[in-house]
Amino acid sequence: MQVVIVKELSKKFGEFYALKNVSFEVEEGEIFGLIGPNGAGKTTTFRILSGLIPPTSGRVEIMGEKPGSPRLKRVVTYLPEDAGTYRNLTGYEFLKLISEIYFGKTREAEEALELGLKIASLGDKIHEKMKNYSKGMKRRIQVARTLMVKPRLAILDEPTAGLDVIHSKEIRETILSFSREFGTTVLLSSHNMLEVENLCGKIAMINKGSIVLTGSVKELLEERGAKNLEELFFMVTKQGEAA
Amino acid sequence: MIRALVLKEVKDLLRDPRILLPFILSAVAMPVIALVILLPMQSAVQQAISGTKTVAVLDLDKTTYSQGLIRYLENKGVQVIEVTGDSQQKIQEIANSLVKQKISVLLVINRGFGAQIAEKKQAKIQLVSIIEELSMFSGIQASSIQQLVDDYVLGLLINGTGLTVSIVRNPTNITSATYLSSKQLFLPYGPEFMFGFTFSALIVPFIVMGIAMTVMQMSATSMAVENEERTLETLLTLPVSSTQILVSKLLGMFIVSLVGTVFEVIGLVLYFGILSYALSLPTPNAQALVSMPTNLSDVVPASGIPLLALSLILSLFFYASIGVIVGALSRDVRIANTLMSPIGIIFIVPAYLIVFAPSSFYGPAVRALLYILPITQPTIMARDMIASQLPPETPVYLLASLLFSLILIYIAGKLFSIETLSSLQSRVERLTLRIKRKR
Repeated sequence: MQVVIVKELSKKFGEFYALKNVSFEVEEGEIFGLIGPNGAGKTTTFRILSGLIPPTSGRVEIMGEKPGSPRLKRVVTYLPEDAGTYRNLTGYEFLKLISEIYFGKTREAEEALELGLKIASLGDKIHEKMKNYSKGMKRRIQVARTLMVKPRLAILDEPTAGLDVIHSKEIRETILSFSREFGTTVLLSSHNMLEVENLCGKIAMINKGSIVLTGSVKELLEERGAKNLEELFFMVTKQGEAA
Repeated sequence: MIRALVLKEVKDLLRDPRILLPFILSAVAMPVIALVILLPMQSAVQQAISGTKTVAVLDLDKTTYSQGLIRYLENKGVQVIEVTGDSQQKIQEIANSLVKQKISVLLVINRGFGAQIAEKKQAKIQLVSIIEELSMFSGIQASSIQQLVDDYVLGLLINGTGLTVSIVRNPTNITSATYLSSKQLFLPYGPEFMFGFTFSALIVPFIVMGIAMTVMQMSATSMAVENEERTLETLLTLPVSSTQILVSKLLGMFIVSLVGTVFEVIGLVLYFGILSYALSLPTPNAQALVSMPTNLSDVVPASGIPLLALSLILSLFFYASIGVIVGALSRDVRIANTLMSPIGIIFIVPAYLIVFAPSSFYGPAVRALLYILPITQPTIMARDMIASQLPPETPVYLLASLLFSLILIYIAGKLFSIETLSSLQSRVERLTLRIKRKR
């Protein structure tokens, strides 16, 4: 079953086309990577999928619904690339707030909070105000916030940005185990090609607002004769520049 | 769900020093200002009452009249130090030499002083106040000497007429009274003795305006922080509607502004308490002040207080909504603060009109408008409650204010989409740049 269907999606800001006829599909339980250079249109695509901004034209469906509907908001979570935290709240208070927004004051909320604390793995620091957190700690809280509610689709824009090697690995493992254990579909972007190669079954490469490549990582590497995703990325983006 | 969001707002706001500090500062500042007024006033008034003990006298007249004045002063308990000199140019030098002796008054009896009295003409005399610096109360020491000199000369002028100094000074025995027509109150003293109430009619509306400004600033800052820290985007993807986000934000700010208002009221009470103490000092008008009504309800009807409170509550939502809109349109706190300055002027100008102009100045139509608009309603209500009377149609005005607040909240709710906000924020950013360039 396709969880995400994007067909000929375009988005215009004034006279500028941020996205031009973008199409891709994401299967249920899949970890799908949307990769591309800065300003390629990844974040705009994610913002449309999370219902934050409307498309200019094209078809966008998540589980058969238009993005941003009240029902989808309960099962689709979005982690923006530059998501901030509330400086004067503790990490614990923030995760508790999220669990209560999703589940009220129920047993489910307690479980979600417990899971969030496990994903964040901040130890005693969880009770400190978030203004004292490092960039990496803030990111872990945000990743925890996104996954703790066991969404059916998690849209993660640069989930490991700002994290050190150890915590990046932990977050990658969490994403993988979530996808396997709960069947969560994950749509992510990353500039770390090794991370994408390790996590994603399928990818779409976007450049200057258009999809230039899509398919399974393995097949694409074989097709283009690239040793790894990084080499493939350079090949495709340089072709784009030459064109 | 709303409860959790409101709680988050309250916690986040109360823990932010940028939010609560203005409230705390104004609460501390008010009694400090009162003390700053009180202490020098107390000292100056005491000095004026007890009279100046020492005066330097330069007698250029050397007549029996001038010598008589010196003796008169001595008889009244003033220590007179006679100084010598013979021209106007010397007076500055004499005054300078008196500084070291800490003498603050120099009395110069000009030539012709005695002759002028003998001819029943105005006697020329010069009173020099020797002060180190200018202040509100500088020169007050000379007033008691002036009174004694006047009494002495007056005594000589009326000699043989059968009149007394006190009759000449107070030829009529006037009893003042006031009829406050708007409140149908008859008070046994003149309006000049109702200082406390006229002062309150000035200060209370300003404090109401101060609360309005603080709430707007707080809301704008809080909302701009959401943009600056990129937390609004996260909020908008959660399973809550934009209306719920807005309402919880407004409720959170309302709760915090109530806490802030408590601080302001404490400051206000201390301010008036200190000033009341200052007014209870013995002064020439002490008798009249003591006879003023001590019961506040004589002048300010208790029935108006709930209406004023309701107006303030409704207006707090309005102010918070304006702040939220300004904050939402600002990419960061800096832009929000820049925008709040011109908006503040929109609030301050009508407040000055309300406080300083009598109702008759702006007529019934403008008065009705001031009552309908939430930005001016509590200010004019506070003033009218103290200085005159609330109009009978006040509940209708309150409904109008509620309507305005609801319309504004609706507009604010419509703004809560990332696309609208991003586009408007770009325009606002260009506008603030233009404002800054003009400055």
